[in-house]
Amino acid sequence: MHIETLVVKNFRCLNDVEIDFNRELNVIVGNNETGKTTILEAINLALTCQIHGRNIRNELHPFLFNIAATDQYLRSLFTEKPQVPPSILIELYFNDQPEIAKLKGTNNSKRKDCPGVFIDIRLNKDCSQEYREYISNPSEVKSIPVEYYEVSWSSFANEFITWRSIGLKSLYIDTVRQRSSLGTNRHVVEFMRTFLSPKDLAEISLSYRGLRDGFANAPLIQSINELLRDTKGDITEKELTVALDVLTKNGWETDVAPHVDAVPVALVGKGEQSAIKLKLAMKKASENAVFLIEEPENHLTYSNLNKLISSVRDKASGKQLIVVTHSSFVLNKLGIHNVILFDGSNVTTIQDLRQGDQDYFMKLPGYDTLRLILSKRAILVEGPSDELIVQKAFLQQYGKLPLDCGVDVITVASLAFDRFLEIAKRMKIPTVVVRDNDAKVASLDKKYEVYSSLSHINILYDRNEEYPSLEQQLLRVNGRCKLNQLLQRRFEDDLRLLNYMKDNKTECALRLFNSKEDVTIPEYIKRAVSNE
Amino acid sequence: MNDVIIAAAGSGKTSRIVKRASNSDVSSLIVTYTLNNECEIRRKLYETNGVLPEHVTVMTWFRFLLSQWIRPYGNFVYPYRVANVNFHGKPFRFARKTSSSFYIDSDHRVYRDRTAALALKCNCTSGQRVLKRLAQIFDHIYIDEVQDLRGYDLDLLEALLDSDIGVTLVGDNRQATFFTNRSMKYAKYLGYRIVDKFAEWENAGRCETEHLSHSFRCNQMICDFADLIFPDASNTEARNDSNTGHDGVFIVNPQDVTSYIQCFRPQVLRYDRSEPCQGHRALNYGDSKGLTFPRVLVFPFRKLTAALKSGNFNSLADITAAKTYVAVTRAQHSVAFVHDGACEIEGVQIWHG
Repeated sequence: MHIETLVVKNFRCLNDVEIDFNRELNVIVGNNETGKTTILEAINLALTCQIHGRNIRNELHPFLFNIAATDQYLRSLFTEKPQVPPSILIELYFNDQPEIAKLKGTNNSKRKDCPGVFIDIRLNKDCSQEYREYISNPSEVKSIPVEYYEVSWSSFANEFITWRSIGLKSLYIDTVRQRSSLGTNRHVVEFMRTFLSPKDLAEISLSYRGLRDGFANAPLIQSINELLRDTKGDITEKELTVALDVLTKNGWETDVAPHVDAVPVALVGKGEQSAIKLKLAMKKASENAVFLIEEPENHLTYSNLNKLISSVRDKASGKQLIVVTHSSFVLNKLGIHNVILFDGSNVTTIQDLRQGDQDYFMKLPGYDTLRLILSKRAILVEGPSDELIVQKAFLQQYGKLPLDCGVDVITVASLAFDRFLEIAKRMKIPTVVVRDNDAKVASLDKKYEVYSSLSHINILYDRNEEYPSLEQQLLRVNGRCKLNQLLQRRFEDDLRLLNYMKDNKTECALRLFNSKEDVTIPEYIKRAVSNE
Repeated sequence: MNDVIIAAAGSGKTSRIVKRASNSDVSSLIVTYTLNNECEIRRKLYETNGVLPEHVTVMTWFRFLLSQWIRPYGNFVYPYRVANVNFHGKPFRFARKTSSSFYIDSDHRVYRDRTAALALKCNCTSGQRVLKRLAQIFDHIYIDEVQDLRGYDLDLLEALLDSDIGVTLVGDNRQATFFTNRSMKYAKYLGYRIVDKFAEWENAGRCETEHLSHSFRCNQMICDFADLIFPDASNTEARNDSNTGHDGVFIVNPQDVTSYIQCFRPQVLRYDRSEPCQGHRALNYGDSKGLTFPRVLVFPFRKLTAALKSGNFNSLADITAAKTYVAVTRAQHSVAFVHDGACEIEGVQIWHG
């Protein structure tokens, strides 16, 4: 059982969003503030009716509603046609399988006949009288009157549901929010609850209660109680004794703390905590669980992250994982073909990425694929010296650095160019490759022929094989005299200058970049910068 | 695959379907009209299994219609969630079948008499999706107290019989004391006559019929007396042959009621609350359905008094006959009628205190 589609309307920053998920791995990436985390929150809310571990019915506040929708509504109150107050809708569409057919029906916004659940937060129609009074003076209405709202949590069969009736458990692992020690405890205990069977839980609860009962029977406590009994009449007519409170059924949760190597989990490092939560959750055999993992890279060193992600990937088979990350490493390790790029309203995925490309990035996860995916326009270059010259060209032409213009210059070893281009091709990222011709123009032409029909991909190299490298190109357009001056050298022939430049590539490029004077830029780099 | 079980009172029909559903490993649903009987079925499930088995679901008839027929595909017919059933209101007489007000009131509640019709409409309009969905969830559906169904309910049963789901209908046509609705459609199959519909279905190859003509509850004298009420039904064979020293059917003079009650502690039964029962606490005939008592003391209504005198029950209307049959068949050992005068019925003894 897994989530096929999520539909969200008016929830926080998500105005109107529809996302299809893969059966197993999903890696959501996107810029900051686009609402990646909110996607996880929305899924968790629809699966559990809870937000931040509490029932949504007790946690309603105006900021749960989309700001744009709220503004529109508040403004409309001053017009002749006041709008219906905004409502939140979150729908989860599951795959159609007989085990969950009881959740099946067409009560969803797509009118699709499939199993699913939805949470709907709207004005309670029984409160229309109060609501009318509330909006009678629009200038006093500053927010959505959530007090008059109701929450309904239903299946697509339009039956109200409980968390038991869904059959798909949600395991939300969020490593981001800082929690107090009590909070961490609670969080881990929540995980134990999903990890342990109801029988185990009942037994913990029973032995805990037994322990508390035992407290009252301890000799010391008994003698204290004897003493108290003698006060009968002084304080109350009834018998006064002390005992531990055994009234609440789940009392153990506040007092039982998970320990790691005999250290309370709250005192263990944050990274270890995250890893424990994640592994505990993954270990559970049930296939009917969706794992919502927020930024697993937090608090972990590179090597620990490597271990964690490897174990997540190995144990995930058969389960659905939805991961939000800012890390190329996590993305590459989990499989770049599982990426879901989210820009706040639309999603882009990679369709049919070649197996070879998937494996390449899994084995070499250090590549900054995420930078490419998140860029509005990318210029791929072969090395740091090329990067510096491109930056210089940008500065000269626009007076600004590329990043300030939304252009990301990324250094990619030349062998990986086509791997990156395969991603750019499928995700429609405008990309320019700037490279040396290596005196092999004909073979390069042939190699990049496949991209010639794509308007968003441009491969640029100079066609003159007498100038096969960047250094030769720079010498060609600037001349020895000017380069000597820019590099503060006095070479008397081109060959020596060239050899010097080749032996000190990055340093030379840095000097050129830092020079106050303009450097003449080779034509193919100019074209990359101006993107004509 | 489909079967109809027509069972005499006390034959253990509910226990039978509970056992069948529990012992098979297919996903089953047991539906019955009343809340009381739903509780009884749950109680028997616990009795049989210690817990409610995961593969058995119990629902009342209206919950079945609402949650399985109407709501999942309700938006093919009506844009709102159907909140509940309006049990007491009557629909506007001239509403057209095509308009939603034919089925649903202004509070989004479906009229009791139109619930089954709306359920069928949801299935039909959605392209049989209701039945397809049901077949995904349940392999077998048992409907207990089927004699309570009428009108469009019968069309719905027919749709179920024709579906891929196995169906077992269980009931006693002699106990048709109340109905799920007041529809006058198929009046000729109402209550006692529902067996004629079963016979039609059997002839069309939709199901097989089985009669359970024995009673684990009542002794033979009580069975024989109860059989007089519906003379054309098959005779009931008692499986209770215990001897308590006061067994069978008795006449008690109104003057002797108090001492009879002191002596035997029977459950007192009355037709309805217009009968004062000399101040003794009593249960209505109809409300005693499904219950078992060692002994009952019956305060007869006017026509029953006449029937006791003449030995002829023909003058009882269908529902009153059904209620009388229910009252009599509650007892394991003895049934006593409060009656002043002669009784022509064979085997009935006069109690002399």
